Amino acid sequence: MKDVLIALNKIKELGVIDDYAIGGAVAAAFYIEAVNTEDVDVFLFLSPSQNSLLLSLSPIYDALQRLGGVIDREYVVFGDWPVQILPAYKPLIEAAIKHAELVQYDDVESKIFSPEYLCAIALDTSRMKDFYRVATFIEQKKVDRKILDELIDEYQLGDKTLKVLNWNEP
Amino acid sequence: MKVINPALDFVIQAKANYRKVARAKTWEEKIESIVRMRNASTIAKKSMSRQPRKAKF
Repeated sequence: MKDVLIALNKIKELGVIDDYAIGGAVAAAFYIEAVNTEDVDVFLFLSPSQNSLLLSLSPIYDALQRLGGVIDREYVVFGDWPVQILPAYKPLIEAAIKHAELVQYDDVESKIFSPEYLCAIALDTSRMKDFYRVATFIEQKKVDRKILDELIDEYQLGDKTLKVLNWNEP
Repeated sequence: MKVINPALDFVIQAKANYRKVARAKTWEEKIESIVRMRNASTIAKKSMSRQPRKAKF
């Protein structure tokens, strides 16, 4: 994982990407207990020069390959970790990257989604495991309910909360 | 009415203890445990696919 974070920081420093943040189960594991996952979800803003109508991820894949990554289907693999590159494709994801939290993994600095954005994105994604993740955040009191409620209003996710079994718990 | 079932109590307690330990781990330790979970899952899937098929009569 350390190699992944070093590579991501490097391509940001080189200007290949504008910014990034880790989401999904790897980010959630920072706050709550770990669950199995196949890959690291890396959400990113492309550098301004790359923001054209024809969006291409090949400069990112090329840069990561030069830093030791191995391309395997849609992933770039570093050691044990396949990395999935996901451009910010909707306003909720863009906001999540902007409000990501700075964290340390060993001695490497990185950015991960905040608990509130992880929950909002999980509600938006709406798979069974996403509802379970939100329930776990609530159960372990790791999410600011006021901020999450604001995100739910802003991104119209209210109907999704009905599927979270412990949503009405304080 | 409280149901007395030592076996069930043992399982519930064991699971609660596991979760307590799992939550107390650092992010680095949790990431390592995800890799172990994934490897175990891969091995389990492979062994499932190698099960001999039952003969049809």
